[in-house]
Amino acid sequence: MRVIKAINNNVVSAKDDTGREFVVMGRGIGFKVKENMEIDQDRIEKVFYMDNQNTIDHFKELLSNIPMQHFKVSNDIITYAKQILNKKLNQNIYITLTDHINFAVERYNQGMMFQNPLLWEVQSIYKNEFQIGEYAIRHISDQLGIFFPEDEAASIALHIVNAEYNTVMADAMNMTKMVPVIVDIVKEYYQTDIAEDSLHYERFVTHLKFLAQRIINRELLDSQEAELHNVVTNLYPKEYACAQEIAKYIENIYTYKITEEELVYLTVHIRRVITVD
Amino acid sequence: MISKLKSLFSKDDKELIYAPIPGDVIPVTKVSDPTFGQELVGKGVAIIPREGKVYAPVNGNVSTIFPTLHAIAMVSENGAEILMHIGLETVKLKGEFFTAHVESGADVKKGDLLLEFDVEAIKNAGYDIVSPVVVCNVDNYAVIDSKVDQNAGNKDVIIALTKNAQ
Repeated sequence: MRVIKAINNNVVSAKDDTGREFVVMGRGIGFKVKENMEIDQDRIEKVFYMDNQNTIDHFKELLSNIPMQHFKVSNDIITYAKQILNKKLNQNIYITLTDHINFAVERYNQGMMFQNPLLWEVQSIYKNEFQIGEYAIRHISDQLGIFFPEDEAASIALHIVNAEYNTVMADAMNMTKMVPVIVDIVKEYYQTDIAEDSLHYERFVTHLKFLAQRIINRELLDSQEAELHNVVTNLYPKEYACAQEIAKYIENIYTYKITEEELVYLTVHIRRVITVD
Repeated sequence: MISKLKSLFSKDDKELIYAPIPGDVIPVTKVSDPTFGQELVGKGVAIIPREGKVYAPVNGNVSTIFPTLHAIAMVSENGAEILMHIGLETVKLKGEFFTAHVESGADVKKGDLLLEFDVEAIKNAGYDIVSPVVVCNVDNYAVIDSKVDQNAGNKDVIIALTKNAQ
């Protein structure tokens, strides 16, 4: 591992023997180092590999233009998020979240605070991610002495959602808007309430989140399973009709037609959430 | 606490489902069609029929007879939703070789004849006659036990359900 360039005292860009570039973080790792020097292995705390050179360049540029503290806070939040969610996050999160936090701090210092119109939706649909957002604002207040409102927790949560589902911000916002509307269509259709703290509601919402992701990414399931379609539409005609209502809404708003297979799965999930004891 | 203990042992929490079709009972997971084999619509067994008759496996109500008569669903008096599906892909027969003896909405007693079908004709038409019998409202039960059996009849239990504790 050899140094390409020190970004600051604690971050350098480096390359391995194959010439692949990455970013290395560690206390004092960039102090008085020169190009081609071997990196002090003991100082390495974290290595950031990115998908492509563009992303690496973007990352380096960001790191050389912001206070190191902002990056450290962002890094802590991402580490916490990985623990809570126990899954892989898109590496771009190191750029997008860091950039977001840096920008939010600047706005705060200028006395500008934005509301998040999706605060309620994020809180109810992306519970785990919102919890990460709440940790984030506590951590930011501890580390930077800046007191963000809950709206900021929701914004950070949406960045985490993007990293989980490989979407961009506009998509995450659409997914967040879509899920509660679908739940409302079901409630209205059956003129009933669904207990939001029940396991079945949780499962239903999980299905809807993945459905929303598949709609946004245009990756709907479509295996033409005729037997399943036949059985489900005959067993649950009312739920199938409700699923068709949902399909109409999605077609109107997102100009995308739901496949029969998705309709069938939606039907089964509506049935479960509606009929459970 | 006492009432909870009582409910653990009370009979009301158990429900037995008897073989609706005379024949050999196998696990539904052995069925090649993913709709049933992967338990997408419910859990239970499949029966390889020895005789082309479907009897009510429980007391209850016939909730749906499929328009093409190849499947019938019942809700038991205790709330179990049971689907009996004769053969695989048999929707394509469009009702041929099937005769219904009840209508949707009928109340029936265990052992009542619901449907007849021609085993040999269906097989000769190129269909797999293995017939899934599954409980669909699986979320309402803590345990769904199924029993594999040779040459079962309407007196033999094929599925035992234990309700979720309230």
